[in-house]
Amino acid sequence: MTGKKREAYITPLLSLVCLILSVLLEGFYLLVPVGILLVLSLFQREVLRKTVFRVRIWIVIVSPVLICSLLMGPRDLWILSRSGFVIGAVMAARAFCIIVSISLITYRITITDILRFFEKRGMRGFGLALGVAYNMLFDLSRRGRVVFEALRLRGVVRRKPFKAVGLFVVSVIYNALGHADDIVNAATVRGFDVGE
Amino acid sequence: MRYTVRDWVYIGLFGALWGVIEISLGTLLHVLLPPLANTFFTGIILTCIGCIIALCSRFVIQRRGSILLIGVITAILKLVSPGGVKIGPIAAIVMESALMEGVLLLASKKRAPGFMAAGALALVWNFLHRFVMLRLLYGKHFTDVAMKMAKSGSRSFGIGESGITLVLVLMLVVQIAAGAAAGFLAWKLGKEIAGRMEARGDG
Repeated sequence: MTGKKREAYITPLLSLVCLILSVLLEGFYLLVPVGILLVLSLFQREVLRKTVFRVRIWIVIVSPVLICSLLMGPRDLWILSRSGFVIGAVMAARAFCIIVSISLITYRITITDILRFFEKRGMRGFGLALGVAYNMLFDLSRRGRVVFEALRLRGVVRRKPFKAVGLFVVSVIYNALGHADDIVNAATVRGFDVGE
Repeated sequence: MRYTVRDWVYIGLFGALWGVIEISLGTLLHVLLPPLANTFFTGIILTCIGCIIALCSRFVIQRRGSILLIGVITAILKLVSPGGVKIGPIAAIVMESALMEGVLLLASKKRAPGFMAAGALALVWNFLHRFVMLRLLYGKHFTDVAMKMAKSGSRSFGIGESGITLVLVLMLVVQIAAGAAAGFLAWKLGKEIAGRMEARGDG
């Protein structure tokens, strides 16, 4: 096993262990998975960018500490509660572990990995559906824009907005179904079989 | 029941449609609405559109389990899309599609009430989803903190503890109504699409 491959397995595996530990452990023991995950994420810039450096994540992590300090237990630390702070910190540590470990497990997964996974297990049909879906993402947004512009230029959006929504949905789906039929025909003439 | 190539391609298509909405509109709504306060509106809008797309598919792919598969495809697309941690939306999409599939399996015939029930149940999950996810994320203390917050909030607004229950019930009723409306719309639009396909000769 090469170094790169080993690293690709070790990080998700350790993250999974930390995820399990964060669910099982209580109190100060949670510092163990928090520490491991912090070290692991330091080596993955993408995960750092998506979790540790995001304000949204910090709101999720800090809010239980603030709320618990204000609401739980006696106010023995100015307007805050010491016991409430501990409860909040435990909740925040658990949330941090879950968010970062899931990011570390999933950040390397690509659509090719998923397709390969299904192909190897003989689920060719699901692989085909996933491949079609992934490739149609951009095409569908383009088709949606075209249909919307057509409806807008005919004045339907302004005059009958509710009818426009229905027309938009039906037109986009019907249009896309036509394209899907072309894919089916292309697959059929090439002898593609989805298996059992 | 064996799925044909056409069925799989259509499943991919509807998965992509739901995925486009989740990735583009979902990201936009999460940016527009403030965090922790956007669950209600973002959830209702995204789930209603998802319901319409998934339930419409039943008129095109007449196979058991197709809506669940569409949900799984959408969840995978959401997983590989750029953006932050998405475990919440992924769980919600899979659960909603499983609930819709379950209701349509029980309803068996393609009638409006079945579709409305499927949509309503998907939106009920949307209501429960936030509580379930927060309980999973923050652990056993979450329930105590939530109860304290509810009591403290009710005191601050002077509405009493029963007022909180009333607000929650009202939110649930709004979600159920929105889900039923989405289900009915899906039934109507699905029939129209099926009619167009029949007229074209592939129905």
